[in-house]
Amino acid sequence: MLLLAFDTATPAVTVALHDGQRVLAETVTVEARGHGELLAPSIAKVVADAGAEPGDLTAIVTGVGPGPYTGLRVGVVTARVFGRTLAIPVYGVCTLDVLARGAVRAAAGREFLAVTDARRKELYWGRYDGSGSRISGPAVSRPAGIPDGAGLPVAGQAASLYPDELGEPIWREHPSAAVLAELAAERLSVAGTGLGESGSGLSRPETGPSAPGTGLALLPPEPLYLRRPDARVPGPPKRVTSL
Amino acid sequence: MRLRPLCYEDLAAVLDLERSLFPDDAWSPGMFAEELAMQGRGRHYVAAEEGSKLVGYAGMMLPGGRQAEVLTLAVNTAHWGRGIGSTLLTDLLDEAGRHDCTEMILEVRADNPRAQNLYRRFGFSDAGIRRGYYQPSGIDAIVMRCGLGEPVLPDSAEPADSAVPADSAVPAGRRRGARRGCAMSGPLVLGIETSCDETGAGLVRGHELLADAVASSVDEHARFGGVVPEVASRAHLEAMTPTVDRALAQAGVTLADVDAIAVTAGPGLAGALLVGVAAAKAYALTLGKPLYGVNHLAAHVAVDQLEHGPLPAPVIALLVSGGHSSLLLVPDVAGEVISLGATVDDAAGEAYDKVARVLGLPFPGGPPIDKAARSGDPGAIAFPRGMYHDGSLDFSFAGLKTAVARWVEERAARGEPVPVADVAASFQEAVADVLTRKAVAACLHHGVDHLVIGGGVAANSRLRALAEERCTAAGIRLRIPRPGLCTDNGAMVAALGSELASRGLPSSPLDLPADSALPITEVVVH
Repeated sequence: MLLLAFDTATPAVTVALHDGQRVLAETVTVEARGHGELLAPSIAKVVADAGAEPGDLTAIVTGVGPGPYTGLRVGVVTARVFGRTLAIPVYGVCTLDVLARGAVRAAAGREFLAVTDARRKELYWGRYDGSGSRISGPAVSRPAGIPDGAGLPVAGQAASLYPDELGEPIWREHPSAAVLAELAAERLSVAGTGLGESGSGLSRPETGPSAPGTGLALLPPEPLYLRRPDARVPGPPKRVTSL
Repeated sequence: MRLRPLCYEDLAAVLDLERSLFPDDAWSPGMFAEELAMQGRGRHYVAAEEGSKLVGYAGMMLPGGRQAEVLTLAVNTAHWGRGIGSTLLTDLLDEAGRHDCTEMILEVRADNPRAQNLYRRFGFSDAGIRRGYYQPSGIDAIVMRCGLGEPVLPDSAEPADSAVPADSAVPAGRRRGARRGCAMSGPLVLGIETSCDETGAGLVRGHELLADAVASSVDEHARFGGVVPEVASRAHLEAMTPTVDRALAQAGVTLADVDAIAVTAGPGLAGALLVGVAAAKAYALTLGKPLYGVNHLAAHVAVDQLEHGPLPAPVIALLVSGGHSSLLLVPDVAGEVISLGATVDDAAGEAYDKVARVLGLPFPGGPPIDKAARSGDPGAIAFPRGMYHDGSLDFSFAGLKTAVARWVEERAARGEPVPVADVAASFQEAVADVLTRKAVAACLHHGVDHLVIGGGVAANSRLRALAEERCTAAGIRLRIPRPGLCTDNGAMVAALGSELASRGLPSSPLDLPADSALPITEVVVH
C-alpha cells in the first residue's frame, strides 16, 4: 500500500506518503494564497523523497474541508485527476477530523471543538469527544452560534481568533497530511477490502464502515462547501436617466 | 563556402537545382514556399553558398524536441567531393542538438549508395525499408537513424521492421514524403480551459483537431445576468475529469497517448483558472508529460490554425468576448504577441449583455441581440461610436451601453413602445463598426494583410459580415474560425500547446501560477 495524502483546506499545503505502516515523507508549507502553486511540486517532492513514482501509488486521500473554496478545490481536483490517470481509489476526509486527531492528546479526554477560519466573523467547526470522534458538525457559524460551544477547549490554528466567545485554545496547529494519512490508513485497514463500491473506490458517507475511535467513514472527494455561492438575482436594470 | 539560412529569394536557384538533381520527383515551388514559411518554427532550412551562388541546401523537421527528420539534402553535382554535403549535414546535426533532439531519421533512395555512405560516416544506420516508396520509379527508400547523444530513445533497440513498417499511408510519389505526414505526426496535446464559464478539453496533433469537449455552466449564470465566479468554479471542479474523458473518447485515444498538457494560465477568473491549472498539473505529474501554461488570448489566435492552416507572420488579431476586446499584432503566436489596443472600460460582449438586459432579452446577450437585429434597421438610431476618431486602437463601449439605456428609457418615459429590433440592430451596427474600423486600421498601419477574429463575439453575424466587407475593400485576408472554436474551448489551448510542443519549446514549471491578469506578452508562462 502506498497512500498519498494531502490537504489544502486551510492556509497550510500539506502532503504525506504512507505505506500502510508508517509515514514515509511529509511536507507542510503555510502560504494562504499559494495552494495552486505549491501542491503539485510538494507532491512531486514527497513521492521522490520516498524513492517512489506516481505510478506506485495505490490510493489517494484528500482533505475535503470545510475551508476557503479556492484552495480546497485545488486539493480535490488534484485528487480526482490522480485517481483517474492512475486508476486508483480516491477518498476524502473532513479536514476538521484531521485537526481533531492531532489535538486528542492536548484535549486530555475532554470534549473539544476543532475549528478553522471561515472569514466573515465565522468559523468552520466540529465538536469532538475525548477520543477525537466527531459528535456534531462540520458546520459554519459565528462562534457564539456554536451549540453548547462556549467554554469548550478549542483546537486548530484559528483557536484563538475569538477568545471572548470560545474556551481555552489547547492546540494551535494547521492540519497535517501525516495525520490525515494515518487516519485514512486506519479507516482503510478497518474497512478492509469491503470499503467502497468496486471500481469507483468511493465509500458512501452514509453507509461506509466506521473505525473505532474515528467514528466516521472515508468520504468521496467532494468539497464540504457548507455555504451557497454568493450571488444575488439582480433587480431591474439601473436607470441612467433621472425621472 | 559558407552556410546561411535558406530564404524565399533562393527559391529560383533551389528549384533549378532540385529539378536537375531529382528529375522524377522534384518538389514544387508551392511545397518549398510552404516549408520556408515554417523556417524557424519546426523547420530548419540551410543554404550552402560559394560566392553568391547557391551550391547546396538541406532541410529538416524538428518536432517536439525528440526526433529530427532530414527532409532534403542536395548539392550541385559540379561541387561534389568538396565536403559540402558533410558541412550541411553537420549543420543539421548541430541544430538538432540545440533543440535537444534525441535522434535523427531520414529516408534515402536504395539506389543512391553515395548518399548512404555519407550518412553512415556520420553514424547513421539502417532502420528499415519503405518498399516502392519513390514513385513513379518504384525504388525503395532506406530509412536511416542516428542517435544524438544521451539519452538514447528506448525504442532504438527495436527491430527495424517493427520500428519503421513499410507504411502505405505515406503519400506515394513524394520523395522524402514524411514532411507531408506532419499533420499525422507530432505530439498529441491535451488542452484544458477553465478561464470563465466553459470547462473545455481538446486534443490536437499538429494542426489537426481530434476532439473538442466543452461543458458550460452558462445556464446556471443566466438568472444572475452575468457569470458568477464561485458558481463557475464549482462547475469546473465537477466537469473537469468527465470533460477530459469525453475528449479522449471523441479522439479514440487514452491518457497514455497524450504527449503534453496545455492549460489556460490566464487571463480570466482567478478561482476558475485555478481548477484547470491544478488539474493540468495533476495530469502532467501522473503521466510524466510536459505542462504548458498558456495565454488565453494567444490561444484564441492559435485556434485558427486548426481550421485555416499555419498562420502567416505576422497577422493582426481582433479578440472580442464577454471578457476581452483586444487588438493584437502577432509576429509569432507561440512566441511574440504585441498588444496594440484594448477596451478602456467594458468588453464588447459585456456591452451586449447589458444592452440585452435593458431590452429584456436573456443572458448571454450576444445571440438574442443578433437575432433581434435581423429584422431591425441598423441605421434607425445613431448610437455613439466610442473613441472612433481618436486615432488610437483602443475601444470604449461603456458610453454606447449607457446611450442605449438612455434612449430606451426616454422612449418608455414618453409611453412609446421600444422598437427592440431597431435598437438591437443599431447597437450592433455601432459595435461592429468600431471593431472592424480599428481592426482594418491596425492592419493598414502595420502593413499586415491578414486579420484573424476570435472570441465569442466573433460568432456575431453583423461583425462577420462587416469585417468581410471592409477587409475585401482593403485587400486584407480575413480568417475567422467557426463559431464553436471562437467561444472558449479546450481545442484552442491544445492548438497553442501543439505549436509550443512541436517546436520543442521549454515547458512550464509545476509551480506555475494561475494569473488572472496574465499579460499578452507572456504567451507561455515560465
